[in-house]
Amino acid sequence: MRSRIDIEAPFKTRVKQAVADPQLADTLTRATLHLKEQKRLSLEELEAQRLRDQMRQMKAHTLRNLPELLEQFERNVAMNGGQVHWAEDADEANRIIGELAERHDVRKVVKSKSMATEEIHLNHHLEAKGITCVETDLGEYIIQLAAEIPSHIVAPVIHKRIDEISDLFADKLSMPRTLDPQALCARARVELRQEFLSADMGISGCNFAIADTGTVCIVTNEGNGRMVSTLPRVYVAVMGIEKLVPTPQDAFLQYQSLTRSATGQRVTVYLSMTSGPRRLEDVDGPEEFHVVLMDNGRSRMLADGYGESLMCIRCGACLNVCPVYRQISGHGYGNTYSGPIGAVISPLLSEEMARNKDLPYASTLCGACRDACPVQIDLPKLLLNLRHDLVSGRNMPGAERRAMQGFAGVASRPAAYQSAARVARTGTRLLSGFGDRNLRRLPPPLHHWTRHRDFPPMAKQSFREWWTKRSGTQGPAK
Amino acid sequence: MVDQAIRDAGTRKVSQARQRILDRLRQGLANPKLPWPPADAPPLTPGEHMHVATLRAEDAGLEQRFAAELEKLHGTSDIADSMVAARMFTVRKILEWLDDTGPRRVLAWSELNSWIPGLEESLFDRDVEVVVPESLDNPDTRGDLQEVRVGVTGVEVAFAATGSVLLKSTPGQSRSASLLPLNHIALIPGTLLLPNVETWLEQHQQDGSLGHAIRNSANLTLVSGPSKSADIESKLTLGVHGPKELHAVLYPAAD
Repeated sequence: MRSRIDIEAPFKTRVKQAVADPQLADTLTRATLHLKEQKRLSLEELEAQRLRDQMRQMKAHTLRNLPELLEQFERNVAMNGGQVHWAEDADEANRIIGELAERHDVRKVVKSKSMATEEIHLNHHLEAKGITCVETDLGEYIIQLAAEIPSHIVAPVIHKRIDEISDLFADKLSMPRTLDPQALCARARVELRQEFLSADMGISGCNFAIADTGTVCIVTNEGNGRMVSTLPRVYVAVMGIEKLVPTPQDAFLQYQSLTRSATGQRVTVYLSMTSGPRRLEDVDGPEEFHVVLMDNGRSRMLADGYGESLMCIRCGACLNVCPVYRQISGHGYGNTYSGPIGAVISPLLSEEMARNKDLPYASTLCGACRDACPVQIDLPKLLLNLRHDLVSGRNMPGAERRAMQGFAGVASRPAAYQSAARVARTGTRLLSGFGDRNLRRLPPPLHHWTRHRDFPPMAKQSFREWWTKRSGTQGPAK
Repeated sequence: MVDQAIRDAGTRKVSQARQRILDRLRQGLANPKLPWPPADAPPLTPGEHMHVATLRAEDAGLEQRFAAELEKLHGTSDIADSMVAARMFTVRKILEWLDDTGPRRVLAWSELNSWIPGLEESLFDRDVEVVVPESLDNPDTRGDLQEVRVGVTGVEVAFAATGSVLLKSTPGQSRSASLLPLNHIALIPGTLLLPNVETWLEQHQQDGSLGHAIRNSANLTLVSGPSKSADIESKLTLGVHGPKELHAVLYPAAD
């Protein structure tokens, strides 16, 4: 079954579609709570706060020195026999990879899971050139069979139940239906092994890269990352410019922070560290090694005050604690990056602002994401700043802007505020039939507000009235 | 001539992208009030990095901790008290894994005898062919090796606190031996077993060889347990792409 969420639809439509799916929130809640619990257990055994502080310091230092580290990384990749390419935006990255593929007469590409290549829609671009792209991460493979996009940074197929996957394998691979995950996995192994052995080019993302040594690191559990970086003739790693770490020690610190925060693992099964193409007389490994350093809006984020979001290590911990993510799923965000971090960076990447102006509002600002973040990124603050920038850019709908101006006028005059509050108290209690039921719909023109949210009936008395009655004084603050 | 002109144009464009990206970053960073704390964080100095996974007081020895950790990761191990026992454990495991239908061949690193003396002869005696390809470029060689069920490798170093082995690609040490077969056996002499990865990093840092240790081979891979996935409904599946079983043989460096 296809996801019921239309990625291209406007945000509010996507939210409606997500909320209308009775099983989606259950599936997501189960899966994210599982990941969250795994993370808690794996961090319990160590000084978790010290790890967060060291990560924060390392990432802050890295960002501060990013230009120099990028130059150092480039020199070291070249010394290892590899080649660095710089891409200002998605088009340029796609063009570079497309030209590499043409130069090497590539007909088939095998890919390991990469958010960076999702971000630039690389598969689409290569397929337009007649090149077959095969996603080899089990989850991504399922996503590709279903012609969907990933719905979670680390668990792309988190929104699908096993019976849906079984139906998909029956439909696309003519496999007898089964609810045994090991059987589905074994079938994927056989299908994909042939692809690995016959592909001309391997493409991966990059979890982090070491400036000191020119080394690209990818973190996987299945081994597909090793396959794509070992078997094809040409290996291309695509990375955002913020993925650098200065030293090998920093790399292993980030590795252990990433695995624990993402899936609660002490270590993943594989950490592959590639320093250039195969060396003289090596048995296997690619003949050529290319790194595409991609900006695509990142340097502008730094300049515009959103540099902190470039510390993100893409662990997905903020998704797993987010009440909004659980309701609307990754697809509700309509972008490669979902959850709180996605709500921040999706509007800022490339030219995506206009399409994503609603995303900064896809948050209750509860702060759980900030507490979960292994790098302590202040996501609520960034979301608020983004809302502020969007409003001052006059991107807000007219009715909402006028309503907010009206509210500001009333709220800044105590007498007006108190009378308005009295009206609202009586009104909302009338509408809720004097119960505690949330209001599904307010009368016009306020129905705009309740179209996408419930409104609680207000308390019988205001805090000031309660205080006066209780203490006999006129309230604490005058 | 024309080719050269196109190449030049390409190079110019590339260097433009490089320059523009670096310029924008430098402009952004020139803002004296960077909006994230700490503003001028010093780098973490070597030795300052915390040891994330550590040995516990109740760990009797590195071998026991390694075995316990690997078991949690769905791997298995034998702890041998002599080189002879190590050879016996290794051969026994390989024979157990080679089923009757498949070829009696293992895909291995070169010079297995340098890891455990007499291992190659022991396997030969039991009709097991040790395959050490010089190159895997030929599609026929690759196709042929698809049927090989067992891979046999040594390690660069192993870490007890996480049950991990570090594998280095060199001539004679293929990446494929630990990647393509359904079963992988890793030979770990006691001299190469360390408490955790941080200890290894610190050792190399102290003698100034860390950069070399990381980049003097095209590939280093840290392997912790058999290939697995939880992509389908968070349920564990093994052997997705890499080996479905990983067995470690731990043994003293010399008798």
